[in-house]
Amino acid sequence: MSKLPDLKQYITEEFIPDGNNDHLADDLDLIASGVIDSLGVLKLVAFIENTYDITLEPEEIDPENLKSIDAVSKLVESRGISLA
Amino acid sequence: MKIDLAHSFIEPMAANQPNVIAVKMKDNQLSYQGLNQRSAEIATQVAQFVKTSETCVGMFIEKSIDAVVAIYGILRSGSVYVPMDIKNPVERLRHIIKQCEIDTLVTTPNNVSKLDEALGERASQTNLIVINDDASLTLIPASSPIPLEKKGFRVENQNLATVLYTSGSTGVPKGVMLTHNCLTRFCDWSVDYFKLTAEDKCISHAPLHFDLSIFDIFAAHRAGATTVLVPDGMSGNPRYLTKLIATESITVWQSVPSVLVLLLKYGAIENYQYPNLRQVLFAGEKLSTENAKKLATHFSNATLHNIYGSTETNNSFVFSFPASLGDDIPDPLPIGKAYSYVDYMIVTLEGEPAGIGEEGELYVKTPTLMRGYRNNKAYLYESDARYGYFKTNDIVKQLPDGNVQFCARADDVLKSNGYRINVTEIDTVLQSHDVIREVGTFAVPDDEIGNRLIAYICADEDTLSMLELKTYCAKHLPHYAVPHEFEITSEPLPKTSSGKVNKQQLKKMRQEKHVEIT
Repeated sequence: MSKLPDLKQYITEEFIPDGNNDHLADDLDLIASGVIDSLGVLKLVAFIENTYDITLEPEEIDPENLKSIDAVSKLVESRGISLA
Repeated sequence: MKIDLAHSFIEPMAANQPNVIAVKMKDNQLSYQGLNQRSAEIATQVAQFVKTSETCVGMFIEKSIDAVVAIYGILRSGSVYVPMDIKNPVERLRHIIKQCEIDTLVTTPNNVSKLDEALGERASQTNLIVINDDASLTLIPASSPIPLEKKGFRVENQNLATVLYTSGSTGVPKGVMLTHNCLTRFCDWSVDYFKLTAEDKCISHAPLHFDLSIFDIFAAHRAGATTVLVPDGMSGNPRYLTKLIATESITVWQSVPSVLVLLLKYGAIENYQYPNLRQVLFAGEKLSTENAKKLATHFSNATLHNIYGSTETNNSFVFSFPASLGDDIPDPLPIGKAYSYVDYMIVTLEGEPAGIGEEGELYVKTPTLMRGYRNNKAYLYESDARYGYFKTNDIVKQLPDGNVQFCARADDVLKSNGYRINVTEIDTVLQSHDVIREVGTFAVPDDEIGNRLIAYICADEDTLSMLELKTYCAKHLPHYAVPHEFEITSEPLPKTSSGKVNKQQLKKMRQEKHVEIT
C-alpha cells in the first residue's frame, strides 16, 4: 500500500494550518515556497524516520533530499522501501 | 610603514606556512599557498574594473571555498566585497546592486542565470567574473560598459572593506559599511582573547553576508588557523554539525544560540565526544542558562562565551565562563564586560546616566564602529553630547559585579533563529498583497528559535489560502522573515487611539486563543 499519502497529509497538517492543500503539488519546493522552514525540515526528518522506520545519516538530511514530496519519496525509496 | 589591511596577512602567511590548510569544506580544501595564488588571480581580473579605492564588487556565490577565495580576491584588487544571499528575493538583490553601484560581480556558473534576472536592465553594463568548477576564471565583460575613468589610488585602512546588509528599522535593508580598520582591530583583539593559533580549526557556520563570518574567516586566518565551512544546506542540520565538530576535531565554534539549542535537541549530541573543542562563542540573541548548562556537560573542555554586539559596532561585550562552572552558571547569562577598546554608557529614559541596577539604553563607542549606512548619512549621534557613541536601541543594566545585563529591545527589531528581523518589513510586504486589508505582525518568545513570528491578517478568508500566503511571503521576504503563524480574519483588527493596528491587543488575543486550545 502506498505510504505517500501519509506524507502529504503530514505536511498539510503540520505546515498548512488551514488544511487547504489544493496547490500542494508533489514537486512543489516546500522550502523555497516558505511552507517549511529549517525547523520544519527537522520535524519532517523525525516524521520520515518514525513512519518508515529508518535512521537518516547526517549527510542525507540535506534540503535537496527533503525539499519536495518527490524528493522525500526518492530518498525513502533509495532505502529500499517501496512507495508504489 | 606597511598599511595593515584586512587581507594583508595572506602573502606572509602563505610564505610562512604554505601547506597549512586555510579553508576546508566537505572533501575539498585549500592551503594558504593556494588561497594566496587563487585570490591573486581573481584580484587581477577584478582590478580591471576598479575605479576608486571604494569600488563595490558583488559576490553572488553560495558558501564555498570559492566564495572565500573571492572575498580575498576582491579585497586584494583594492575594492570592497559585498556578499549577497543568493536566496534573497530578486527585489532585495536589486536594491543592494543599485545602492552599492555594483557593476562587477564574482559568481559561479550555476548562479549566472539567477544573477541575470536580478540584474535586469543592468546586465549589459555589468562585468561578471565566473569561477569555474576547475577553479579557472571566465570573464564575461559588460556588452555596454559604463565608461571607466581610472584614477591612481592606494587603499588605506580607513577605506571600506565590506558592506554587509542587515534588516533596517524602516523595513528597507541597510548596508553597514565597515572599514579595514574595523576588521583588523576586531580580529587582533579576537586572536588575542581567544588565543587563536595555526593549530586551531574554526567552524564557519554563519553565512558570509552575516557579520559573524568576519571572525570565522579573518580572525581565524590572521592566526593562521583552518576555517571549516558549513555548506549552506547543512547549517540547519544538527546531526551533521555534531558529527562535523567531532570528526573534524573542531577547536573553535561560533554560531547564534538557536543553532546550539538545535544541537541539544535534535543533534544526537550524546553520540560523540568533543575533547578538542576549547572555545564556544555564541552571539546574536539570548541563550537560556538551562541550555548553557546542558551545553557545558557535552562541551566539557570548552570555555563558553556569551557575546553581545551588532553588525554596526561588531562585538563589544563578552561574558566568558568555563564549562566546569556547571550549576554555578549565572541565570540569566549576562552579556559581561566591554571589550578592552570599547567605551560605553547606559542612559535612562530621562537622559541621565543609569546607576547600578538601573535600566537604560546602551550607547557604545568603539573603533570597530561602522562608518555609516550606505547612502544614509543620518545614522547615529542622537545629540551632540553623545557624539561618537552608537545608540544600540538595547535596554541593559549594570550589575554590581561589573557585568552588564541585557534586558530588552527598545524598538521593533527582534531576533529569530539569530536573524535580525524588523516586523515593519513583514507588515509592509503583507500589506502589498491585493486581498489583504490590514495586517499586524508581532513576536512571541520561543524556547527553540528565540522569537516566533505571528501575522494577523484581515482579509476575506475564502480568498486567501495559507499555502499561497506563505509562498507570497517567501517570494518577497528573506526566508527567515516568513511568519511562522498566520491568523486570517474577516473582522477588522483592533486599533490604538492613533488608529494604528494594536499589536499588544493582538498578542492578548493570541494568548487567549492558545489557552483555549491547551
